[in-house]
Amino acid sequence: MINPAYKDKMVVVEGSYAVAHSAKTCHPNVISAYPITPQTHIVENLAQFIADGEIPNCEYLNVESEFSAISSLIGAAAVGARTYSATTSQGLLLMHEALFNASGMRFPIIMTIANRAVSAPINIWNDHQDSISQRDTGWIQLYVEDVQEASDTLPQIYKIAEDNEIMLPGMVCMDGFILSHVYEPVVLLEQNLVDNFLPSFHPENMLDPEDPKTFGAFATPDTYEEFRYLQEQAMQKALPKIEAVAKEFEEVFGRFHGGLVDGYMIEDAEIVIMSMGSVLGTVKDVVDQYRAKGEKIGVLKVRSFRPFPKEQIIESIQNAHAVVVLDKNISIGTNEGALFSETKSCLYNSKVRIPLVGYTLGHGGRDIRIESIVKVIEGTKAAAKAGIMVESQFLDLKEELL
Amino acid sequence: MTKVAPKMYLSSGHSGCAGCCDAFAAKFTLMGAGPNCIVVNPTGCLEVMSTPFPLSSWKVPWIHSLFENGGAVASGVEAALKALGKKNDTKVIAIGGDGSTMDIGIGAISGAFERGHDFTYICMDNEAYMNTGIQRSSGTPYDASTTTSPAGKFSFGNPRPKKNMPAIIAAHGSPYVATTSIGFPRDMIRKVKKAIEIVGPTYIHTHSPCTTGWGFDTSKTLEIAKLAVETGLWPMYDMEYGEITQVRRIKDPKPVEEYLRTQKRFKHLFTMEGGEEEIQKIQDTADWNIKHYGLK
Amino acid sequence: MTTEASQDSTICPEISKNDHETIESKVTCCSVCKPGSTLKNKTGGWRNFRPVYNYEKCTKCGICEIVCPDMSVKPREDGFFEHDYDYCKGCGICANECPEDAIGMILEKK
Repeated sequence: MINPAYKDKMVVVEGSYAVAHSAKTCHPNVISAYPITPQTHIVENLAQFIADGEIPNCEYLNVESEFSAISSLIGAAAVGARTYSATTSQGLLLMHEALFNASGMRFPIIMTIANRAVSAPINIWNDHQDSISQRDTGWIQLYVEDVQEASDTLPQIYKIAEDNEIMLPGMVCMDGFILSHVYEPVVLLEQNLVDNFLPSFHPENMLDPEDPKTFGAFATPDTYEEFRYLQEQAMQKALPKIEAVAKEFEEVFGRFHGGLVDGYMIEDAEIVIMSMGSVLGTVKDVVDQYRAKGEKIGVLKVRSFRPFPKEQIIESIQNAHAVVVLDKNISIGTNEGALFSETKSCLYNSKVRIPLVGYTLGHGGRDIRIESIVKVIEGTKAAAKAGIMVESQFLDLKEELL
Repeated sequence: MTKVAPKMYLSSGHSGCAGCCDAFAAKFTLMGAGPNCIVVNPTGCLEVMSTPFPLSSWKVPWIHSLFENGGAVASGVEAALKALGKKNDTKVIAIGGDGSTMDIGIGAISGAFERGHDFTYICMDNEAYMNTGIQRSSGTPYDASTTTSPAGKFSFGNPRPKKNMPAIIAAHGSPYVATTSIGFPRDMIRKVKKAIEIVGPTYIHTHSPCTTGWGFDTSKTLEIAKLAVETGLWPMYDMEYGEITQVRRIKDPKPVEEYLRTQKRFKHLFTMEGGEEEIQKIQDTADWNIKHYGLK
Repeated sequence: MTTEASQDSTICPEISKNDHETIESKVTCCSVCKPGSTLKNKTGGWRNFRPVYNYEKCTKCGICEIVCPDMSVKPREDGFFEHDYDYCKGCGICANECPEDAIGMILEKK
């Protein structure tokens, strides 16, 4: 929620500009760029900042592929540089192998993902299939709801990722086009406040001829498992850090977008709608309409998908009569979206026994209409009363096309 | 006479085969480069044999990321040194095998050379994927038998000539591209020294006979490397901005047969019908090199 | 005459051939290894043939040191060289490349 006091600071800019501006204020040392729609405006804006001399001590690399974009940042991070890139869809998939590598070597590389559908069929519009399919790579994933949050989350994720106890790469996932290309009033991050909030990056280990360490050694079965364990531990340490950093951000900037999760009208909610990203705006509008009628509907925004905030989710939804999860992705072969599957799984060994249903929706940028959200809520109300009829399904499927 | 012992920045105890060519390539590279460098080493024998966690044979800062991204990781290392004001005299060196250089990593290397990073890429060319068990690469020479291009009743082995990687790099406008061989340590050390001192992306392609993959006695690694040069099959030259400025002359070229006979990978050429014609084709390649590069 | 050990002391003082306890074998977050620490691996056990100098023939040219892929030929104070059998794998390249034929290869007794 934006403090009215900040209103006179707001300017109307494109989402990509706000994100690029935010990245600039974090003072990256190496930015790698490769064009891909709808992310391109972010790296174009950064290129202009570089051309205008606005980012000190920074090298901007026009690489020849997304694979080299992430790989060059691995090299840069190993020397102790703060690094940034942005990508989406096919670009993120091309990075896949190196994403594991960046996390395994514990380099806190930060990227903005302008979420987009993946091919085939080729489609440039928004859904979450690209970043959700990177969920096991060991990257922190924070999903944002609006442009202000996309911008505000960058310094937060640097602070989380670069923590000595964490040292994991992270991606801020914002909906492509819906947020990257929208013009919205936002507060552009003030440099002096970012400087107060985000300490400079001083990793413990660096490539340095004065202290010649070896990075990326070969691990046998004797040690490999321990590396994975330590990565998982770092993710668990990121859970409280994400919460703490969101609060620190609020203290400095006066804005709070949620920690691991964020509830809206959830305290007394009988029906809870869970989701990630910009669709939450539409959902909240619909919830307002229901609330106006006196119906107890609430929203749980999941901001951190990795690490997955099991406890916070259970706590937030435990008193609901039924929960519906909206996923802009699908794990083909399960007929479920990832957030739905994972929410279900974290309830299994808990004492919470409530009906949980899922919808996979908005694929390839299909518009999510208010009427559809109403349909979802009505369906969930029915499940609360009479039990689950369909556990998970596609929303707004055009039967006439099949 | 007081001699200064050459400084070794690669340590004993690595697990390369006895007579390993990659150990030579790394040793000579570091003898040329000295301690003030950062080494990027894509996946391959050298990486595996020199860094079994928690141990390392490297006495210079070293990083391995993946198989196909050596050029890009080196780009990032160089860019970060510049951005952090640490570049000074620190040299950035990437050293990879023929697989990671000429096949899977060529895109990232092309990008790094096109962008003009100040680094030196060294290709240790042992003419096949040795780390995975001697599979054909685009560096494998004509008629060499590998596990994925085996000689057989209807095959003389690899059906294609070697890719001319130095020419590809030179086409990027690199200020310095050189071929060398581990059989000529002084030549290689000189070229490494020269390459790292030049500002911009430079390239050294070092011919590296592999005892295990080529099938010869462990004591012959350098002898066979020399034979490749002495037959004209491996021309050694310096190239500046695409122009050859210096070649290693061979006064009295030896017949390629002398080189081929030393290695199991060419053994079939001496037993199969039609082998003589094949050997003649390889001789033609050497003759062409001698003429084209002006080796005589 | 500078020995390798004294040169190394400036780069990686914590590791020497007989000081393996300092090598951290614990798995740490960034999996970094200490420089030159493979000295812990005594690869001499691989050897089937042992190189032996004939110092009467040796001219101290130093080629053997250059052509050892295992960095196991070490200069001595007197200008001659010696093999470090802890690491020598017995490849025989030094013997093969010696211009004076001053290195012989003898079968290891196991």
